[in-house]
Amino acid sequence: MNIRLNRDLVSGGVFVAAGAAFAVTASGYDIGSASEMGTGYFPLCIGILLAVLGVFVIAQALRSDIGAESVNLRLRAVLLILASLLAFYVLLPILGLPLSTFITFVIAAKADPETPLTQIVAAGAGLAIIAYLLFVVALGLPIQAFPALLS
Amino acid sequence: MDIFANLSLGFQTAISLEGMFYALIGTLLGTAIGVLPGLGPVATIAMLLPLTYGLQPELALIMLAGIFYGSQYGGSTTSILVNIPGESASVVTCLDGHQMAKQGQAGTALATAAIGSFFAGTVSTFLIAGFAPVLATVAFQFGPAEYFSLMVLGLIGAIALAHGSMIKALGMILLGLLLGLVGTDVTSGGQRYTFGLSELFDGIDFVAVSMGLFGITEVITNAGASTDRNVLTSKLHGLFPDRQQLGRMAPAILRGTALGSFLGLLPGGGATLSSFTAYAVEKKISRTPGAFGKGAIEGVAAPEAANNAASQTSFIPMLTLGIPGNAVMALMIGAMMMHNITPGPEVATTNPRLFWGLIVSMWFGNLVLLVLNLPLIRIWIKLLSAPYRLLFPAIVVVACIGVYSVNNSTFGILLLAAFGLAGYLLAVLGCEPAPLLLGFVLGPWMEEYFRRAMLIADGDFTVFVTEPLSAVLLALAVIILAIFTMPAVLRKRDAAFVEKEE
Repeated sequence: MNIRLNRDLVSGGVFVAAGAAFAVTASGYDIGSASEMGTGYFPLCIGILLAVLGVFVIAQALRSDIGAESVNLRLRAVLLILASLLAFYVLLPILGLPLSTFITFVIAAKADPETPLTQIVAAGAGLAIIAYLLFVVALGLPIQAFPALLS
Repeated sequence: MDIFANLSLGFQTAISLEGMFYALIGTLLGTAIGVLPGLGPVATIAMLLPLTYGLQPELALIMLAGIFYGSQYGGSTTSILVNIPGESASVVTCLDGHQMAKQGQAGTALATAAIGSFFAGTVSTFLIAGFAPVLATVAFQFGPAEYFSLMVLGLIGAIALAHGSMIKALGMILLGLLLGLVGTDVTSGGQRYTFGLSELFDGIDFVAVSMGLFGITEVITNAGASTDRNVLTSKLHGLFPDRQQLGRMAPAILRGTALGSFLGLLPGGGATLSSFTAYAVEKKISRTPGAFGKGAIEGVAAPEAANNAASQTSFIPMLTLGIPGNAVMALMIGAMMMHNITPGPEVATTNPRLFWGLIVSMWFGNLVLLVLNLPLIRIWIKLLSAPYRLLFPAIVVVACIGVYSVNNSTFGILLLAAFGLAGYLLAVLGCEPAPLLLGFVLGPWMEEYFRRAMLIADGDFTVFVTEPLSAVLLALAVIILAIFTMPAVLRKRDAAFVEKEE
C-alpha cells in the first residue's frame, strides 16, 4: 500500500507525542529536587527534551522544500508477521513448542505471497522437529512441548 | 603493568579446552548465520544470545565475541559470492570482491578477506592488550560528573559518525534513554512506566528490544521483496593468492589495519565506517584508481582488514569505560549485564580472567576463521543459497523462542511484536534503530551518574562545566554537534554516504 507522507514532519510529531507522554507520566511520580532527585526527575527532563527536539524537527520540516513523499507501507508483511508473533504468544501455552512453531512459521511465510504452500508446510514441519530436538531434548529449556490436553 | 603476564592469564582462560570450544562454536555459528543474506551481526548476536545464558560469564563473552566476528566474516563471504552484503560493513567488499568472483577469482577474494582479517585481528588484539589497561587507569580518575559528560560525548559522537539525519538520531537516543528507564528505579525503589505489569519491573527485556528492532523489523522490510540471487560457485579453484597478488595486498592490509584500529576506538566508528574509509583511501592513493570496482585486490584486502581491526578495537571503550560505540557493543554490554558484570574500569582488576580471556579469545577466534573457513567454504555456500522466503519465517520463530527463553515467559513475545512494529514504522520515517539501542543501554547509567553528580554538587547544575575534565568532554560534544550540523559539512557528509552506498 502506498501512502504519501512527510517523513520529517511525522517523525517530529512522534517525538513530541512520545516526549510529552513520558514527561506527563513522570510528572505524576515523585520529582524531588536537583540535589535529591526523585523517581520522576530524570525522565521528566528527558521527556521535555525529546518533545522540544520534536518541535524543532517539525519546524525544520516545514521550512524544508522536501514535502510529502510516496512511501510503500508493506501492509501484508506487517500484518502477517505480527499475526505470526501473536499466534506464538497465544498458542505456546496451549499447544506446546513444535505445533506453535509450525503454525507461526506458516503464518509468517505467507508474508511472501509467492511461496508455494507445499514448500511452506514441508519447511515448517522440518523446523518444528528441529526446534523440538534442539530446545527441548538437547538444551532442555523449560518450555512446554506438547498440547496441554495431552499432558 | 605487565602485559605478558596478563596475556598469559588470558591464554590460560581462552586456550583452555572450554574456552577454545566456545570460541570455536561461536565463530562457526556466527559465520553460519552471518552468511545468510539479510542477517547482520546485531541480529545474529541477539538471536544467539539466549544460547549463552547457562554459561560462565567469561565463556559466554568468548562465545559472543566469536559469534560477532564470525558473522562479520560470513557477511564478507556473502558479499563476494552473491553481491548481497549481509551487513553494512561488507557493502564495500561487494564492489571489488564480487568482481573478482565474476572473473573466476572467488577463491582468491575469499582468501584475501580471511588473511586480511586475521592479520588485522592479531594486531588489534595486541593493541587492546596494551591500551585497555591504560585507559582503565585513566577512567579510575572519573567521578560521576565526568562519566555523565563522557556518555553525552559518546552518544553525540556515535550519531555524528553514523549515517542518516543527525537530529532524528538524537531523538532516537532520547527515546531510547526513556525506554531504558522503564522498570524499578534502583535508587528509590519506585516503579516507572510499568503500569502494574510485573513483567516490566526489571525493565524492558533487552533481547526483545534488540531482536524486535533489528530482527523483526528487517523481516518485515524484506519479506516478499523480490530477491534475485545467483551464487557464483562454479569457479572456486585456486584459493591462494599468487606472489604478485600478495605483493599488492600486503601494504593494503597494513593501511587498512592502521586505519581500522584507530576508527574502531571512536564512538560510532566500528566496522562500517572503517571499511568505507579504508576503501576510499586505497582508491585515492592507488596508481591505478580505475581498477577499483573492477576487481582490484586492494579493494578487498584493505576494507576487510579495517573492519576487523575496528570491530576489535571498539571493544576498548566498551570494556574500560562501559561506553558502547555502536549497536554491537550495546549488545555486548547487555550480555555482560545479564551475567551481572558491569562494564567499566573495574572489570580488568575484579575480573581479570574474563577481561584477558576475552582478549586472547579474539585472537584465537580469528585463527579459527582463517583455518576453518576456507576448507568449509562449500558448506557456507550451501547455507547462503538458502531461499530467503523460507529463511525469514524461521527467523521469526527463532526470535520467539529466544525471547521466551530469557525469562521463560511469553510476555517477551508481545514486546518483540511491539518493537518489531515500532522499528519498522520508525524505519519508514527515516529514523535509524541503532541510536535508540545505545540510549536504551545507557539510560539507567546516565540517570545514576547524573543523580550522583548532582547530589555531590548539592543541586548545582554548573558542576558539569566547572569540573575541568567534564567541561572538556562536554565542549568536545558541543564542537562535534556544531561541526556536523553546519550546512557545508552536512552536505559533504550526505555526499560521502551516497557515494558509498552506490
